[in-house]
Amino acid sequence: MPTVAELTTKELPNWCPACVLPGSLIHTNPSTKKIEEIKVGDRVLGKDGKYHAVTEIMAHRHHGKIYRITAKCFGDTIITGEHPVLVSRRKQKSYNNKNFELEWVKAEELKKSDYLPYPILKEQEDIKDVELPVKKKLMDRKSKDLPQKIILSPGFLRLAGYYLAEGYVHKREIAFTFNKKETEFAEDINNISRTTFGLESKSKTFPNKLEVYINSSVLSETFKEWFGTGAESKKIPKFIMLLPAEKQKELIKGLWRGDGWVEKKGKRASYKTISPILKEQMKQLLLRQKIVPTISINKPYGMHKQSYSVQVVSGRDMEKIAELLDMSIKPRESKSKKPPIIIDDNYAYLPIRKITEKDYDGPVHNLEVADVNSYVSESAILHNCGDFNILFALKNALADLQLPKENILMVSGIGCGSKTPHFLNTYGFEGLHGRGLPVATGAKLANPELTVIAISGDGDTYGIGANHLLHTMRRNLDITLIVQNNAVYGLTKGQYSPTSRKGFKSPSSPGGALEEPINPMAMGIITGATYVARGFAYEIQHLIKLVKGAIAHKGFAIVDVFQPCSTYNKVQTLQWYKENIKKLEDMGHDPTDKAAALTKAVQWEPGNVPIGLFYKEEKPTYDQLAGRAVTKDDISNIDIRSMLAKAK
Amino acid sequence: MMMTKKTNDFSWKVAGAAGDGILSAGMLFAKMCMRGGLSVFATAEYPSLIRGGHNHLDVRITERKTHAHTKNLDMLIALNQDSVDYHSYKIVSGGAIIYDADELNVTKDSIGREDVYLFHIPLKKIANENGGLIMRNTIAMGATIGFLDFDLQLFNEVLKDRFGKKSPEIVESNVKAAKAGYDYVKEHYEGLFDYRLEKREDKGELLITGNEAISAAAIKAGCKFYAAYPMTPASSILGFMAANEKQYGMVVKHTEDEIAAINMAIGASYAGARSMVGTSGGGFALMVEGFGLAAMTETPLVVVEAQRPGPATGMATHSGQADLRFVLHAGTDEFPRIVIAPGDINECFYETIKAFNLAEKYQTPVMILTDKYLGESYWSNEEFDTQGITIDRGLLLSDEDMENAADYRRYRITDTGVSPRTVPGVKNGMHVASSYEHDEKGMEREEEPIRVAMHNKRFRKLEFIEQEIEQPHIIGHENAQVTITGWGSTKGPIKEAMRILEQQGIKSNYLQILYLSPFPSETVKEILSKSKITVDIENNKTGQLAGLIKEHTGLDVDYKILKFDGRAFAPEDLAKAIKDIVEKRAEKIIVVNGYQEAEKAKTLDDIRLRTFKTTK
Repeated sequence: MPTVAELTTKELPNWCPACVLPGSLIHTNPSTKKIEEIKVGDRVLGKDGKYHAVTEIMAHRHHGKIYRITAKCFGDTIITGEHPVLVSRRKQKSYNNKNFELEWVKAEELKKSDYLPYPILKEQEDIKDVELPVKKKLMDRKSKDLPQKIILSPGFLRLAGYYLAEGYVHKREIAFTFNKKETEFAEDINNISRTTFGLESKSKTFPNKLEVYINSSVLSETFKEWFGTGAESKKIPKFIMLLPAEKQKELIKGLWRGDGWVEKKGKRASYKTISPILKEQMKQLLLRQKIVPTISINKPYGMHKQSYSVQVVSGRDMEKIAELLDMSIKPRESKSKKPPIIIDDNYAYLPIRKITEKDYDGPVHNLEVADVNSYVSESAILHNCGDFNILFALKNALADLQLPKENILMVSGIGCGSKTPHFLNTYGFEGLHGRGLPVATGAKLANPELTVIAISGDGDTYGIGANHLLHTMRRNLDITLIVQNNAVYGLTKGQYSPTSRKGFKSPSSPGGALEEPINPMAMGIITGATYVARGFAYEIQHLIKLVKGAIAHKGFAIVDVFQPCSTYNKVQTLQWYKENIKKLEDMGHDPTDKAAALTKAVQWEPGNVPIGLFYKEEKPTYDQLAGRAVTKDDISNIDIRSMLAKAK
Repeated sequence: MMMTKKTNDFSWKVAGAAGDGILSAGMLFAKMCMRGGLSVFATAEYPSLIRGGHNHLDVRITERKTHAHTKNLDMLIALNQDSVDYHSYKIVSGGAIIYDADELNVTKDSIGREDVYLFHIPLKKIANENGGLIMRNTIAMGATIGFLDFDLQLFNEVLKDRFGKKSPEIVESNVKAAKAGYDYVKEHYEGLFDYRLEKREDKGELLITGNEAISAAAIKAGCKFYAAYPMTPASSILGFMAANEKQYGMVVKHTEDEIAAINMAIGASYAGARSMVGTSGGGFALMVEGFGLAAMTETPLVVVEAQRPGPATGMATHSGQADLRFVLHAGTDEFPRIVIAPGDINECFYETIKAFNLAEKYQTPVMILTDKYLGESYWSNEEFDTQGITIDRGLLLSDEDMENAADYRRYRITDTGVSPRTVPGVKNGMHVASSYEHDEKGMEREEEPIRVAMHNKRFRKLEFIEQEIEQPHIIGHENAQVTITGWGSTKGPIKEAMRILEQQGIKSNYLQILYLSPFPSETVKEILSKSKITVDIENNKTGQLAGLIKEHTGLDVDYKILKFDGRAFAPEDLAKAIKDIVEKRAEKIIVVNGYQEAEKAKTLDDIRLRTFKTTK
């Protein structure tokens, strides 16, 4: 019996809902997380440089090709071939051409000459102080009282930088380790500690190092909370990441003094950390300073762990970092004619250096992100996969029902919603526009043992194929029909569809549609369908339940699925649906009550558009009445003599 | 003094109002003749109405094998005035009209004929004495048998077979009525009619239409799915298949429209059932997109197109051959198709079996192109030899074949263009059949090399189909003065015309094109380039086959004999036209429509339809 993975085709395994390899770091608010650790409700960085909520998480096993996209400066993103990536294809490559038009391109179609825009964090919260997250314990008599609020002064931010670079928590102390010559930093820490916390620091010199301690259990607990424990999981807290770029300069200064160095000749500046999160945060901090660093990975050797270098190399950026670090250096004179990475107010544009593909067999992941339908990896902006939620629901429903995959026949017509058979490892028939249901009917009548599922869009089903829909419903064949209803003709670029609301403006109805929309639910109830349901593409668990119920139902099941079309339907948007749909389950609706079902089906009020199972009825199906699998008959020697005798 | 009567060569017509039941009564007469060891042909003309209008049935009876109706009648049973008006001019000298003088006023003056017998039989009166007016037809049959000195007992048996299941009373009253008609003739007109039928040994033949032969063959061929929307003249296939649905374990679906019919049949075929659809031209117009779908998805499918005159709704209950170009080109782009045009009952049967085998062997749509004349007319025909029939399902893979299959490619490119096929339910054979251009695995593709390779793959089948199909051959004299070409239902009238020409000392032969696609260019070219005079005969206005011959061979046919009035050719008309050609008295295009004045008329007001009642 098939799993979701087995229901996925080898030829087109790459289609969402799961496209990113585990371990990939995704920018969250304000840190980073491995994609497989992200949960619904987490906020991730979107293509607009702001944070947006994750609404769904998806994963499945991928067996097929994966693509490693290597961008200049920021390195690799590994995804499946069909996953859309935001790119710019510049016609003129000159540095002075600042015109970057963005488009979504599948990973497998990316070219070396493409640019990956990388968003600069836009979200900002300019706060003056922050409350301590830890209170002094009642039994703690040793610790001095600390101020209730810590002022986010330049000094404090510099201290945070020192700590992130060189600090650690030891018992009740915060400790910093410097080179024994770096006494000026020890002094700086002492000053900051006194003014910020009212605490004196102590210094101790060792043969090869200089240690600075601040003794306070409250402060040590606070720093653990804010900055993480252990060098590998160091991170910058949200309230610092969201401060204005100007204030963050002091943080960078502290960080760089601790873990960075600047080559004397001014050719390069480098910062090193073993925390992958800190590396990504540093990248964002520098981007906000309009500096585009180059990130590289240093492989572990000996007792050294894997580390990351954040380097500044271009003349333009060296000038900026030197100014930031109060250093007077003479920026190198660039030997190369190559201009630095282009950066504007929104993005840094990273040329793709290399694209490699290889086979992969393992889990892949994807997210659904509210509003912007995108999220950000270490080097690229990735599209989420909302359009394929229905496929995901279908695969899950089929896997849950444990149906042999060779007995499943997916039939479709033509339209955006009709590609589905290609993405399932079952039998499939992609027929003519509007004619999916007759093909499904023929196959089901010839072999009732098949599980026949028709899937199409609203134009295909309710427009050109409406006649077949009526007659298929009244036959009550044991077929499931899933309609991906986005109330617009997407494939032909946005004309109004039979389910577009009256007044809907489109290229074919510039004055607004004059017709009333088709009501598939009401039509199903009165025409003889025995399972009539409507789902929403973004209510995935609810949809899985409906689809599962539809396939399990003996009789004709129609599942109309509301689906926003962000490109062409600007009326029924994701937000519109979220504000207006309401689950029938929450209304106490009884799906066996035909009159109530019809009442619900004609209901279309703001904030009260029902989704769920409207109507369900058990009665004999046409294929039961008609018989058996004629495909299995032996036809090698049919005797027609008695039939012919009638003509004698 | 009694003259030698003309024996076992008889043309008979019964005519009356639609709803009078003359067609079924006439068919009983035809069946009786067949059981009497004679060869029979019967064809009916009826309007597209439920009741009213003019119906008539022609029955041709000969001792030798009969191939068609004749224009000339030996006897007319006229049940209403229209029947007399429309048909009396067709009666041969020495022929007869049977009528009821209590109902109709028929005199030699009124019909303008001195040379025919007028036999009054009080049909209404006898009917009223024998069970009511409904018995009129049976009485007329009895009377006919009386005139022909045939075996009334044989008719009684036919009645028994026909009505015995319903009720013995109906049989009884019909037997009585037939005897009353028979007795009336024997009493009043004994020995007066110059024709007689003599019984021969029953050969056990079938009285069968083209549609029935196609249906029977489809069932024999293992057709398990038939879908259709009723459309004359193909509807009787739907009726025949539905009547046999249960016994032969088929699915027969009367669909919401022809589009649904062809798509359902494709779905059923994809699922593994041998599938067929049947329709006429208008219905096929709706099926055209599906026809291409079958070709693109390489799903086997048999389509019966029974032609009627058009365009649009045209003449629903009449015959024509004007859809040839349509079916040869139907569909977008190009794809291999097989178009078979059977010309007689045996071809309807055996070619339908072949059609199913070819459809599965080459995974492409096959059309059986007939018309109303072939589809709905009855021929007595020897019983079909079903012993030698084989079912060839082509490269159809089973569970066992696919047991260890890896990397299955539904549309694998092969030397023959045919790829091994799996159907749903077979393990490891999952794939998508797509109406989009696709690759070997069925995945939608648009790249040039893939398109070209897949298009070539589909077309490669044609070479092998061409090698497999039967080449046309000459029927008749090897060294003929005239070579006739034709296709489909004209075969019967042409064969009859050749007989007439033979009697007139003109040697002819006939090249029937059975397979119109792929067109047998080489053979046709070889035969026609050796012929002395070539004549193309078709039931259409432009001579579509003549055009095809020119297209494929570069040869012009010398003459065309055409007819597009909705009726089949009469052998007499064909013979006359060919004689004119041979005697060099003919135009290049000879139109033999039934009502010649229509050709010259400028407006319909010029044509007074009733005027031809006195025209011979």
